[in-house]
Amino acid sequence: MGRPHAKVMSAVFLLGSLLLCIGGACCWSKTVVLALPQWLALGWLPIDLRCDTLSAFFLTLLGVVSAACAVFSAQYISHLSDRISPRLYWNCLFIFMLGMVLVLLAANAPTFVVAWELMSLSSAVLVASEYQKQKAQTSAFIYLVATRIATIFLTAGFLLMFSKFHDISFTSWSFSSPSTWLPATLILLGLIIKAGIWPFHIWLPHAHPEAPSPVSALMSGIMVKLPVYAALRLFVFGDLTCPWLPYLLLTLSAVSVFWGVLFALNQRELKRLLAYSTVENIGLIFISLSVLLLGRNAQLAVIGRLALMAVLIHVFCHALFKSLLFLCAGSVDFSAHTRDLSKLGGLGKRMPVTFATFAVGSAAICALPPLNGFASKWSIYQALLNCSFGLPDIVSRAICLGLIGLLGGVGALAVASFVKALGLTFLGKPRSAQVSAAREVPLSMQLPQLALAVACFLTGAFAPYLVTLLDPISLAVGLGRMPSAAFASIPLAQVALVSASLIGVIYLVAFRRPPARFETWDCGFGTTTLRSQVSADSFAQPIARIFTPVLQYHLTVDISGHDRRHFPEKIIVEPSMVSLLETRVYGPLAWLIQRCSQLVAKLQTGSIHLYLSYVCIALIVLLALGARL
Amino acid sequence: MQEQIINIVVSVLSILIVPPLLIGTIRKTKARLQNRIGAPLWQPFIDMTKLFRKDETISKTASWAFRFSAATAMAISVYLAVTSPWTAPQLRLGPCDLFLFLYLLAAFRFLTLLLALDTSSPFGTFAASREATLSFLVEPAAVLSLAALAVAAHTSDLNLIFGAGAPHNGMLWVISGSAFLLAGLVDLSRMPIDDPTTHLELTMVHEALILEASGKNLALLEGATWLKFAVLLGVSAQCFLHAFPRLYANGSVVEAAASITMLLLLAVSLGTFESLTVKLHWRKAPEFIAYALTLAFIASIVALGAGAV
Repeated sequence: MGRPHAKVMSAVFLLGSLLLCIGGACCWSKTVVLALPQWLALGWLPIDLRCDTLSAFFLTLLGVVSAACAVFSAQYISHLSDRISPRLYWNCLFIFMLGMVLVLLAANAPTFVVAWELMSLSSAVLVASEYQKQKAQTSAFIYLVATRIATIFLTAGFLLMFSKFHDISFTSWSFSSPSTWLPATLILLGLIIKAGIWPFHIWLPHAHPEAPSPVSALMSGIMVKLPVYAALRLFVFGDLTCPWLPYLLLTLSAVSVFWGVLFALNQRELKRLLAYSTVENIGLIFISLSVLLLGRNAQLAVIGRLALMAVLIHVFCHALFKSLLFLCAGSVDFSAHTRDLSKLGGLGKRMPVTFATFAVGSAAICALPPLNGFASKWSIYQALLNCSFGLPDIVSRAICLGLIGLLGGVGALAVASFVKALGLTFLGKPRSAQVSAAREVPLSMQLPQLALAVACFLTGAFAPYLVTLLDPISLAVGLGRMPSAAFASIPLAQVALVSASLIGVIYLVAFRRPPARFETWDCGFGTTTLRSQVSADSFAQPIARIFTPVLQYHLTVDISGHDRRHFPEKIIVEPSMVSLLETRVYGPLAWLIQRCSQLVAKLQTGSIHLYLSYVCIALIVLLALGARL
Repeated sequence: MQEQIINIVVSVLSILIVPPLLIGTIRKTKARLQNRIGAPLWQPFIDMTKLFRKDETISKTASWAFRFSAATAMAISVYLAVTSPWTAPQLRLGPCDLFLFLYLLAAFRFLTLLLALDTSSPFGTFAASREATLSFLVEPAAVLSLAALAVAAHTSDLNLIFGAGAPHNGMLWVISGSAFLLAGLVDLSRMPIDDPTTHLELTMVHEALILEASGKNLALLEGATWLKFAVLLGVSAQCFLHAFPRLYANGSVVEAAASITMLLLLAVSLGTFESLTVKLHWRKAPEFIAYALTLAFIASIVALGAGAV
């Protein structure tokens, strides 16, 4: 096979994605069990597949997002074919998709781990698509290390569970007895490393920007949600009753919500900003998941239902708008050849469709009504609010009420971050010459963006109907039907219609004539230069200054010139930030590991005689051990 | 039926009249305290009609987002005014969830920030950055002060919280109301965070945001801000009123009179407060907001404690 034809591959992927959607819809209200023939497992452990509503829900979502990515990829990849090998891209994308589908269908632990590895390793290769670049190599390495550690924890947890239940299938596992809480913790650790919860999130802002945009969309839209799926499958279907694990999860996810959005605001690179915002949103999902576990432990089905709804609907909505945003970032990169916010600007007039769709995505991720982001954020708030008057003990109630306040602040920071992303990329004037030459992307790249943007509107307006579709999941975990009636208090369709008609009236009354155009007010000093606009750093400066200790924010101001007080010739202002986790925690840790490995490496001298003596010693030790047992 | 019609007429009139009246009252109070006669109370109406008659000039850099933001901000304000319980009698054209209320306000802010960034004016953009900072600082206080009420009332629907089955915990109402009032002052760019009367670009927030707007566009933005002002002030006024159930549980005439009086009272006290204080240094803003946050925390503790009984 020669070079794969982009359009053919894209069509194949689109077909596959649509089949996934159809398959998901077919298995929606029933459970389909598929035991693959024994010879496929090569005489080892059996490969069991099982699809219930929970899997079907995630499969459909995967189908929707991957359909958009498939259509988007055709032009995007052929455009980048000098940087990315299309063959590598399509092959790895295929394995990546296969891995994700199998993770969702796996009914036993070994199948799950194998699928998990397929997904992790193929996505690591995709992250390293531009492997000639040093940055891509580093990012792929960091990502690979993170996935290795995640798999270690996951496998350890699975093995412990197997030794307890002597069964590998998930349905036979139950986490209700205290002896299963250690494996539960291990599994949870593995999952949250993969999901990118603080303090294990550092791979996300490295991996997402380096991967090609459709892959970032799939990774951020679906892959980081698969740990959520696994947690639901194991801990919610498996009746986790551990009293302290939800609190641990709640603490970590609360930190990552805040941490993610704070760092998102302070990024200069568009896709890095989006990656940090994923940290925030995954945190939100895991907050809801912990509330779900708390509610179940307290035997309060009302809270459990609301929290389950919050988890699922936020997974759904975030997948839609985050993949939309990543695709738009890809379009920006495609046309403007940069993702640096301090070079972008003024793309709104040059790329109107991308601008409009990015605006919809931004508004959705900021949870602005009437978009779908609000429906999901509201569900999270409802779950927390119900906890703060429903839970039995006052400490948990206070924690939940405090979290509502925290989420309020986080919401405001999210607005700031996405105003920054949207405003600096698409509004104002271009900040560099290459950006002023940008053109709108081809139609095949616009269409997926448009489709996802429309989906953000529709799923917001029809959130109650969507939620009723999820009834089988909540019935399966014994929480009763989904509280879709609660949506009556946020009539998003009505909000949309009323505001649209009001806006129409205002346009008819006030904006009938086109406005007169003139220069932006420049205080009479002559036209403002392109650099007199706000920069990515100066927009975030007031907030960065408040969080100086967390961000290690430092502003260096250098004013030079003959009479520098009144007539400076040169002013240089440079902010600097250090990621504390990377320099203080992971840096020393990596150093320690390297030193230890150097010590171990001394064993490996290259002398065959020494190796033979190792073999001999090992044999003697093993024989001695065997004799004792 | 007849009562309903009266209700609708009164509420529509209050949406049209009260916001400019409140602004006029504040200006008049400040003028009187400065020993000036001041502009008449209805001056804001005159300003508004003048602006609406003017054509607009906008920046060459601006995109469609500029006009769209102004129009949508107005639409949001109107939606909030017709659904939220900021005065009595209420229109109650739709349910008003407290999170919907707060996130519509967030949408309002999102749009005004975009409008500021759209013109590439350095004034607008740094004001946007400041506004974003203030909103982050004040949002937890705003959410918590209303969430405390929601916890006490076991619902997040503002119309139910402020309705008949409201919790009669006078202290909670007063503390929440004060926290929300302080938070609202910051959100509305009033003193002591921002001085709405100065036009020194380096110090202002709200005025710099809308610096590039003119004519009808400016009228829409100012009108939307006034309406938002009335709604936020009205919600805190309703909180204070609910501390006195006897006053509140009476017929709608008493309710309406009490609501309007309370609103005007708040406007007069705001005017007095703005005359007596100076605008805080930008870096001191968090210290002022800390009061709002502390009050909101106290309200939350009261609400949690009351629920435990």
